[in-house]
Amino acid sequence: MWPYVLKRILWFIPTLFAVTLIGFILLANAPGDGVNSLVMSSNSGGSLKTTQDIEQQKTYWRKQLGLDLPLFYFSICKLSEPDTLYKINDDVELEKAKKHIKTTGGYKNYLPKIVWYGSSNQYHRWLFGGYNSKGIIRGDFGLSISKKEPVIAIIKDKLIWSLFFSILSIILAYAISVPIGIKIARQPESKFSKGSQFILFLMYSMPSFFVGVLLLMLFANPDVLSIFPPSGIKPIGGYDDDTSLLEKFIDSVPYMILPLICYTYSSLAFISKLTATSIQEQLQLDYIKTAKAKGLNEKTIIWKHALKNSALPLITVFSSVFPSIVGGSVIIESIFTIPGMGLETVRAIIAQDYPVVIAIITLSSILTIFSYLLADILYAWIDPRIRITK
Amino acid sequence: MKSLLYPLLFILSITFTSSCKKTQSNTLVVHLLSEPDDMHPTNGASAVRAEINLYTNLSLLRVNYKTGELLPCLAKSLPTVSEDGLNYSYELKDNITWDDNSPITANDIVFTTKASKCLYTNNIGLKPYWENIDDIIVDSKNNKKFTIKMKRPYILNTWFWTDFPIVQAAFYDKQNVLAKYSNAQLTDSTFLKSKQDIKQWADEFNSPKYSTDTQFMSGAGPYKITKWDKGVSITLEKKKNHWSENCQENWYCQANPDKIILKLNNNNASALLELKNGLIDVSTMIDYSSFTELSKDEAFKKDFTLKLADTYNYTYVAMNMKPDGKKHKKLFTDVNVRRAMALLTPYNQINKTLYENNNKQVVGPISPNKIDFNADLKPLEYNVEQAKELLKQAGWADTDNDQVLDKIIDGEKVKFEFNINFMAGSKVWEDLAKQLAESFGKANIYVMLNPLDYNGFFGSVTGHSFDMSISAWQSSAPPEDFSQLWSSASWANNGLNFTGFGTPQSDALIDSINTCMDEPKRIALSKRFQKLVYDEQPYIFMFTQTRRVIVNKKWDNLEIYTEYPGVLLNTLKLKD
Amino acid sequence: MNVKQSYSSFKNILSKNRVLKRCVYVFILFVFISILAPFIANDKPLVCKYKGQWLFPAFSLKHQAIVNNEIINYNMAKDWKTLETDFAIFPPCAYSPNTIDADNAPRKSPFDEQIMTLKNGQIISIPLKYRHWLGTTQNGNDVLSCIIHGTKTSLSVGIFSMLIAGLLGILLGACAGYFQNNTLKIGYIQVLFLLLSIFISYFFCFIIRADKLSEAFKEGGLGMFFQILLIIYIFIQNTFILLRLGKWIDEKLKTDNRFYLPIDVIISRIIEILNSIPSLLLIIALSAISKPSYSLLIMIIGFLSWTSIARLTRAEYLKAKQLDYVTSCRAIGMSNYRIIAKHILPNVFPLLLVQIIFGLAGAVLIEASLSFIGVGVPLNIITWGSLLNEAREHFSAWWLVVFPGLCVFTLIFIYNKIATEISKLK
Repeated sequence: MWPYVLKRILWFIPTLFAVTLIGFILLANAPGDGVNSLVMSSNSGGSLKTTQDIEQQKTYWRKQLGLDLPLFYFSICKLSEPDTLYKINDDVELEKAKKHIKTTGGYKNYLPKIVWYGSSNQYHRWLFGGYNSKGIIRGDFGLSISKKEPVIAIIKDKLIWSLFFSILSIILAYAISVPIGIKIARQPESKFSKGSQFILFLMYSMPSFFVGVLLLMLFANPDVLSIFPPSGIKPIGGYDDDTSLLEKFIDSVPYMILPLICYTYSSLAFISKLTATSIQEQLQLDYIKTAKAKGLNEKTIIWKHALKNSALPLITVFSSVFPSIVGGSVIIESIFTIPGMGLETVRAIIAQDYPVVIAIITLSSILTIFSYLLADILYAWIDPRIRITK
Repeated sequence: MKSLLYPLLFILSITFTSSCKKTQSNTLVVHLLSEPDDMHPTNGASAVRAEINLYTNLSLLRVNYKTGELLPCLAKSLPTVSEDGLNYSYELKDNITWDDNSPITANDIVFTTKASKCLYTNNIGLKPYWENIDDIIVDSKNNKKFTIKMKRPYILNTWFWTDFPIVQAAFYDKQNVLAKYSNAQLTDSTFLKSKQDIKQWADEFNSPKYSTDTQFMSGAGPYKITKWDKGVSITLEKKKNHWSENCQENWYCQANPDKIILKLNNNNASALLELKNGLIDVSTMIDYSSFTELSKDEAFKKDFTLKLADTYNYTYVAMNMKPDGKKHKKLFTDVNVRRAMALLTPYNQINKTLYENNNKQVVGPISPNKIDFNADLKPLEYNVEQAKELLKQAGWADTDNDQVLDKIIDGEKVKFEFNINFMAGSKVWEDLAKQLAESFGKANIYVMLNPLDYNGFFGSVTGHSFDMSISAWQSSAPPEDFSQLWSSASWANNGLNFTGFGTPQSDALIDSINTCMDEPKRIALSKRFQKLVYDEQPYIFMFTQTRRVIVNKKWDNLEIYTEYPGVLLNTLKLKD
Repeated sequence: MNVKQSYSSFKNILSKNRVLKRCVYVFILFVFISILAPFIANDKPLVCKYKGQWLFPAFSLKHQAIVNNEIINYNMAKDWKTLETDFAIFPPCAYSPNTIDADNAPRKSPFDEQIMTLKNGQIISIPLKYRHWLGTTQNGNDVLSCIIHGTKTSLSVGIFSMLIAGLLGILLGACAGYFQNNTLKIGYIQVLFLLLSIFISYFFCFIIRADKLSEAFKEGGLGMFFQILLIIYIFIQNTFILLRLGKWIDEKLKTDNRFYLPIDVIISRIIEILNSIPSLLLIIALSAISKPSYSLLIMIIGFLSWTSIARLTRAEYLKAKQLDYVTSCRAIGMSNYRIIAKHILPNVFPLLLVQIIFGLAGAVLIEASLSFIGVGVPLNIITWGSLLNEAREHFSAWWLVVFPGLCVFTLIFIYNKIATEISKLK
């Protein structure tokens, strides 16, 4: 098994690189001048009087953020452009320079050239570290523009909350839908099966924001029913200092129920359907029939034998449920004000804090990749045939 | 299915028991709309931070909320002023101490000043406020006495101390670095270049731990920040055995709630639910229509006091009077056009739909709640026909029948279409912009909405790269200094004068207001200045803002002030 | 199959399956509403007679009319209702989505008393024909009208983005599944020329035409769409010419060093990479980075959600390749492209259609979610999601939650139902 796992891991490395590259391309193309807003927002009293002062500040921040480097290891540009064009940071100046090049370049404007910059570039610095940066491989995602704090310090706690919710909701989804699926598989024509399938299908089509707002309106509203607290994730004022982890969890349970319903309900239909079909397939097979003939209890047959063999598709689904839950967190966290990554994404996008946005995207992609990897390994572990045929 | 039932029952039972778990008594929970960016004692700039500082820090002087006058705080009394209005002598109170029981002395005042003035510290936006201080001379015999020498006479020479907390020299400068250098040296960039120790101290002082880590926050106030759960809440706890227990007659010494929790919630609806559930005790941020809804709700009124209170704040729509003519066309250079825009603003409709008719229309650059307000100026009224007439006079007409006005400016045909900028994330601004857009459309002016984030918005107005932009000014009790918002110098160096208003005449008037220490004379000058702005109409002046104060009735001793933040949390007392 | 045949077989299917029939009818209803929206919900009257002259404001392309030397401005919004016309027929919902009715603001529920101010200042209870049947928003926009006009946005975002995703997914999936890694042989020179063509096209599209491109993306809309088409065209054309050239040189040089092009590996890798980025996050980030517009949103959704279609197509083509009819087609020397397009595609298309219709539901959900959190969509267009967004600030306004929410739900539900019913047909 290990050679197979090793091979899979090796396959994932280029994917990881590609994902970071996509993240970086987004970051590099984000609109607005981050340095400009950094400098101008601290200049609210107009104390940087001369443009020279402002320029000086900007140059300082460019150096700190590594924006004075070329973008990538190489660049493709016009033959008429000088190699050091990237050093002009001012938009207006750059426009002017480009115009000048265009008018004087002549035929050289239409010929390409490749410039090699080496490892001293923004992508390399962003990924592996460099001046004033440790690089994302050591967990440094740069500086948040709006909060002027390291990005990782901002998203660390938020990541934990989001992960907590996604893992809990995946577990919950399986815990609810696998029994339902089994029940459907055993008696496909019963009232329960038909009814539950229809209801689950209805729920599958419900947009989560609709359900979330409805839940709040109905169950956190003193005018209707006030069972659950309307927002946040902990009791007001946070936990007491000396509470244990279990007590913290119990304190937070009422806050978690409505969001968890939102996270979970839409994947129920999918997983239960899948369980039902794959168990039904298994039930047609000979070994089950033999087991039945042997007089084994049907329940044990299903739970012990059929389920184990139909676990493969369920694992596949696991890896596709995870990214959708991460995406869904944007909506659900902003409805229930859960201080997680989704809420932070919305805040960062409104504040045009792109380093944070990109860090979240890159990080959740990496997590997704790992969940795929995990699924692959589980797959191989459960079904040894995979290793050979794949 | 049975196996599922038990865990479900377990969860439900926990829910019912713990959702009833309210906060302990004598803990005040306050609704907060947004978190402070940082809590650095001298470098931070956000408004929320100023509110928290009211309770955790003390200043030399404070505002007397009842009268709107100055109140000595760390100082024994108001300063004695020299003849020329340049030297201010203070004496600090006796028996006032820091948390480590060392006395507060003049050295701390000197340190606060130096730390704020030093070029290396990261409070760029605040430095101009300190610029006027020339030096501080400590009495050689008594380290509680000192004299502040100012560079020029100015109406806010005493008032500006109310905004800045005094910080402890021994806490923030353990090596005593700044004491070695004078104010003049610290503001001399060539001198600083050779001084590594100052650079080292400043790097330490600017480091994020002083603005985010509660361990590194120290102030003289009766409360202390004990917990800051980012994005969730900030907890202030009352200090034990604090000297302020002996001066309960002053509001800044009082500390009635044992704990104040500032609970963050930027969603209006869920904040409303929290209020109704009794999870929040105080809110001044619920939106107007929810407030009206609540004030009709008898059950809610049984438990909560609801009051509307005036503020000194006002909303406005700024127009760019001096655009570059390329990226932003010269639309509002003519006063007739600016007046027409003001006439096209449906004031009553906006006041009704967005503010529940609670707000007063403002006419000039000052709130009607201030004493120097010029009541002779008549508010403009919505009048499409008159506006169309003014636009015609200014040369705007729809010559090509495309439903958008046009005019030849500098030989180029310009259409009357532009962007309205406003801060993204606020529903009220968005609705306001939509109403303006519809109304301007009726006079064939085409408007696009352009929501921007804080930095982008701020950059566009200070960089004069906008056509029209909606925002609000927050103001306070001290005499108004018009120079930041209206002097032409403030426009030239990208300050807060966005529109480009200002003539030598108006600049001179501002100067004479700022140096006039005679109150009635200053008021007369201020009224003249308001008339000047009114005639030029650089803004569409919109409304004063009202504070929607909601306080749980279990808290007594509620007084509501016009001055920010409206309710002093430390003075609220739990009913027995 | 010609049109007539397919229509009759379609009818045949519908008559057999009642659930499918109902769903398709609801879908057609949505389409009609979205097309006829300006005549169902508009603040301008359909027909009116003013001072003896007949006017057709709702149908007119002009913005004003001159009656007895008096200019009638067609975009006077609410004032149409107080205009002293001799006779006027308003659409069933007498408001445009952006019309502000301050009399009934903020947020009047469908059951609240609604009022109307006449020209002389008199306040009357609103006539039934002007009533806001589904309530109003904060600014006094009519919810019914917003919902009717929002149909167009929801439908078109779904359909156009899935058009892009479907084309892209089927094309790439078919290539990956049919050619795999062991069908397309390619010479070394050809590979060289392929890389060269990518380089040249990139240089031409993104370096030389950089200014025009960024300008078009700033403007958005049709110009941007045209630019993207142009880029695709340039890439295809260059690749085609240079590949031919490479082949020609290869043949001239008579090099036998040919190897298999691993199309399947390349496409599968791309799918894997795109799948590992949570799509909603990526869409939010992309649509926030550029100026919000629906045409851009359509393209972003389209270019990011083709992967599931491509995966299915690939699997189906892999299966089909083993079948007899394909092997016999190849045996008689039919060209690969003919087999892919004319023979396999019609057989696997119903299955792909199911996936595409599921994709439609997903796209509608994404659009509504974005408007709900108010990111990456233009503000001045009110959609189902943005109505729900308004309710997020005021839970007491249940009509802002229930009606638009039900609309989103219904559309997604019928898409999903149609897809499942089609998949059951086989």
